[in-house]
Amino acid sequence: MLGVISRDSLAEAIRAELATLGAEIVDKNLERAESAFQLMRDHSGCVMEGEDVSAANYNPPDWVDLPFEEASKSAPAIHAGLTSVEVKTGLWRTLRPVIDYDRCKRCWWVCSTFCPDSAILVTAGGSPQIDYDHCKGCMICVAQCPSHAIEAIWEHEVKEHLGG
Amino acid sequence: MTRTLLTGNGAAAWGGRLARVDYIPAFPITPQTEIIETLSNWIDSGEMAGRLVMLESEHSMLTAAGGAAATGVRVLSATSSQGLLYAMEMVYTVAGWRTPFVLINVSRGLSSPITLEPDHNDVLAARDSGFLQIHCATCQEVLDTTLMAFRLAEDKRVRLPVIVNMDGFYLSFTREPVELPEAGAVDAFLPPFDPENIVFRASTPTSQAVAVLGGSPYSYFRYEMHLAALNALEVYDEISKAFAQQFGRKHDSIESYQSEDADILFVMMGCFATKAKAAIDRLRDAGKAVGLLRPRLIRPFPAEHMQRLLAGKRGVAVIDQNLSIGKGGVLHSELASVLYGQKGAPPILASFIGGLGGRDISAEEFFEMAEVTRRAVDSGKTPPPRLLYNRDELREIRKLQAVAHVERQELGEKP
Repeated sequence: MLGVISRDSLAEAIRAELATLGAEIVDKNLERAESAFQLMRDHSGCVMEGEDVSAANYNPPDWVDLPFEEASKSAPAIHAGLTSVEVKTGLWRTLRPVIDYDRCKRCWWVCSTFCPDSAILVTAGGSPQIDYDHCKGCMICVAQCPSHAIEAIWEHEVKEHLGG
Repeated sequence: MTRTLLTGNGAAAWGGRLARVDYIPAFPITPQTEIIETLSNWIDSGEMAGRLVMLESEHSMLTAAGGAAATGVRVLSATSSQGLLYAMEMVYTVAGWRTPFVLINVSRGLSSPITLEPDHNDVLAARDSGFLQIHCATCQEVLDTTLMAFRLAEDKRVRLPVIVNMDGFYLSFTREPVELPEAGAVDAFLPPFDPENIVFRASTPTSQAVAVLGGSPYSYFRYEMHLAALNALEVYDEISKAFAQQFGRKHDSIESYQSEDADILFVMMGCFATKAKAAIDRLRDAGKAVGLLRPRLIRPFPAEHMQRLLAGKRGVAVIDQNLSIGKGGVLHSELASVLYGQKGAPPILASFIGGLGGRDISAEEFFEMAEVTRRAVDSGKTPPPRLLYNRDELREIRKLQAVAHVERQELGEKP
């Protein structure tokens, strides 16, 4: 793209596009764009437009007749993978729900049922346990708990809170 | 007039802004969310009047759109794919209210399996609803068509809601140069809506949609909608002429490219038609008389116009970016019904299914579709429907199935 887009029009586009996000963000982006522009300057002209394919002399597409396959094979079902367990969505959390077990009535079902991520497990004794690897911090459990036994704590204050 | 780079979503938002819409019921869904984000930013900053309300679902959103339109204000809404289907009950219902408004649909393939990229099965699910349907191929067309759609919907000979369709990603997220018309020129083309007897008001209850029993009154109301939709053919032509006069851009109900002297024609909808046009330029370089017809109006279907443009042609390759499961391409069926028994109708009407879920269509594939159609013309035998699908793509599926197979074995399921 270098050589096609001038530095001035790049800057103008960034200003127009990001104006609503405030001057600081615009300046930061201008700075980054400028440094990327300088970095790529030596490589200008490396990426060129492709040539048109000729309709007189072309490789015909390798079309196949799609064979019928039974649904046991062709249904889009993958029954394993377990990727949702592997992905630690708890990292998205900014607020952490913390159960005060002195207040928890061991009703066992309200918080665990409302949790949209099934991230609240219940022990055999009826005690809820939050899976912080997968709790995204939506705070629905905090809102739902009838005995107000779940507190919301900012993640960045968790250490001092739990330490103190 | 300003020339700027806009995404299809940005162009749709500008259409709403220039049309001075009063009310925008909204619900986010990829790939159309940028439309309502853009409009809400303008309303927040005071650059645009009007009111945007976030509803709790597309079903409620369509209800709000119909309800607001029933008060006689100008309404715009937008959705896509699963959202349109979630709203489907109300899509049919509000069309029956005969209250005009515009719904932008950003086409995206339907579940299952779920995907994000475009094909036209979503918007074609609304084909029989009473909404009129206009399909766009460029970002400029999205803006222009949004303005035209309000005038079409609000015309007293029509008074039906209109869907303006654009392809997800290929138009919604792709920037193209777009001419923004002057607000004054738009006001001249699209004056404030005169709602006549559309006066539904809160606290002054009137019956917005009656229940009818026995088929007779029902037949009357439904067929009146059909007649109004058919009227929209003539009204659309008037509007496209008026639009061309005001802005210098003509958007016919069927776009025709290199078709006059062509023996063989591609017929397809949406923005992949721009790929067909590029391929036609190459085919013309190679001395092959191939052209394109792209219906912009899908409902009402411009049947006579299509018959006229196809009379005397030797072969047609219909490229459907949709699939009616258990039948085939929807546009192919529509064309067959329009052409059957007509004098001069092309003897070969070949069906190709391509671009499902945003799958690309290469220049070579357009060349080959023209070639297959030409051979059919020579032999007089219509080829079986063809899915555009390559050996390499099947290899990729085999690879994915091999992975799934291993996982099933690990779970102890039968492979």
